Amino acid sequence: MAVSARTRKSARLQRLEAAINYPIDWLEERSGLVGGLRYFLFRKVPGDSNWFHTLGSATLTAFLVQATTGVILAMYYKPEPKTAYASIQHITNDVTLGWLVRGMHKWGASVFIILLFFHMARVFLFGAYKYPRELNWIVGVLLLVMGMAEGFTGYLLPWDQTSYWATVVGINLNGTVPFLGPYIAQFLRGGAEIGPDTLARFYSIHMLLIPGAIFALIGLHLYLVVRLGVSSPPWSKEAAGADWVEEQVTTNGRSGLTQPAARSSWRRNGGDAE
Amino acid sequence: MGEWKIVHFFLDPNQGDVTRRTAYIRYNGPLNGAPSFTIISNRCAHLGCPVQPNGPSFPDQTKSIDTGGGQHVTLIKMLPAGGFGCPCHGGQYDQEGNRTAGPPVRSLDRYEYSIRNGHLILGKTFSVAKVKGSGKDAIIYRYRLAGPGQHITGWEQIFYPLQPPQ
Repeated sequence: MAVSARTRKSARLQRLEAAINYPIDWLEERSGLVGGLRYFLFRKVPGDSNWFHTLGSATLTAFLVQATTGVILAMYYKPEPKTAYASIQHITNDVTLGWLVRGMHKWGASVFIILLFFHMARVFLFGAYKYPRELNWIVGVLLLVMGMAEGFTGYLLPWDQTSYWATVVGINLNGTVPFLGPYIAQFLRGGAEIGPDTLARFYSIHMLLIPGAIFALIGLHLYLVVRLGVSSPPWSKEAAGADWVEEQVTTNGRSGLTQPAARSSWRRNGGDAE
Repeated sequence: MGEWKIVHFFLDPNQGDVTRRTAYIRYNGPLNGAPSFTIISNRCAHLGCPVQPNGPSFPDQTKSIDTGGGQHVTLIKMLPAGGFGCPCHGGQYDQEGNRTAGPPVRSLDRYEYSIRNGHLILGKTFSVAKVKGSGKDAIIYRYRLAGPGQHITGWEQIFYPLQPPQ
């Protein structure tokens, strides 16, 4: 009895499985996204990777927190000189958990920048910026610049005395750049004087232009991480450098899935490891 | 004569507080039959923070004037015995706006002015390299308006050959 019950249940399970698999298969057949996700999640990483390797993910998480809390803040913020400060007070004092969301965005900005620098220090000290990952270092530097620009443009938005005068100084600092400075300052102000247009401009740059660029650059950053593989720490017993390519040939490598690309680029560079 | 006022006004009254500006004005007595004024912009020549008088002001001796069109002018008596100083990075200026210490690259900007129907009318701002002498006898080395921190004299001026149209 028990056996037949089990087989009945198993048949139901099979139907359930088919019902779950059908949309997944449908998606996979038309997009290959499921296989792509599986490739991303189950790719090989060095066996001796450690907690320092999580700093990049931590930075990404901090950015996603900024993006999420920023969207919520944008629902209540009014980028007008007469209303900006009042709307911030409204968020902090009246909106449900507004103080928390604003606090997360404000302090999260510093967390994001700090984690970014820790991640950068890890990559530098591990020598992970070296061939073939130089391009990813450059993309990372662009992300750092974008993060700084987010900090600069976001600082004006509370529209209190500190943020106003800090931005006056920041814009005039840009104005002292040789030759182009006066024009850069003019662009940032949106005119000859700081006014309503400046606030709207900073808001637009802060929440549309730069976040879009950061999302795109993070996509490129992650693509390169997956393509080139995660690097071992410098104390790794597994060989690096030229042997790293050889290891990939034996499919025993830490990032075997990227083997063809790494091999061909090595050949193009006239590598003598083979 | 020789008395200083802190003067608040609006560049564009329609846009409200964000266009509020401050000038430091001193009456210098008559010059060639017309009253002469020293009108200094409070925008620091380092990076644009608002310079403050180094001396007491007297808020109890405040005069407010509505000049129409939403324009509201406030005059406060003050005594900038030590000139002017900037709270941001410590730039210091004497009473003529000449830099005496700190990071500013030139003197404080000044306002053009005219007198119409017995009223003092402020005009455009211009930049000042230095001021020799004082009061109505001052010789003002005047240049077109440049942004804070931008050199208008000396070899560094080659870095700022062009200013965008205002």
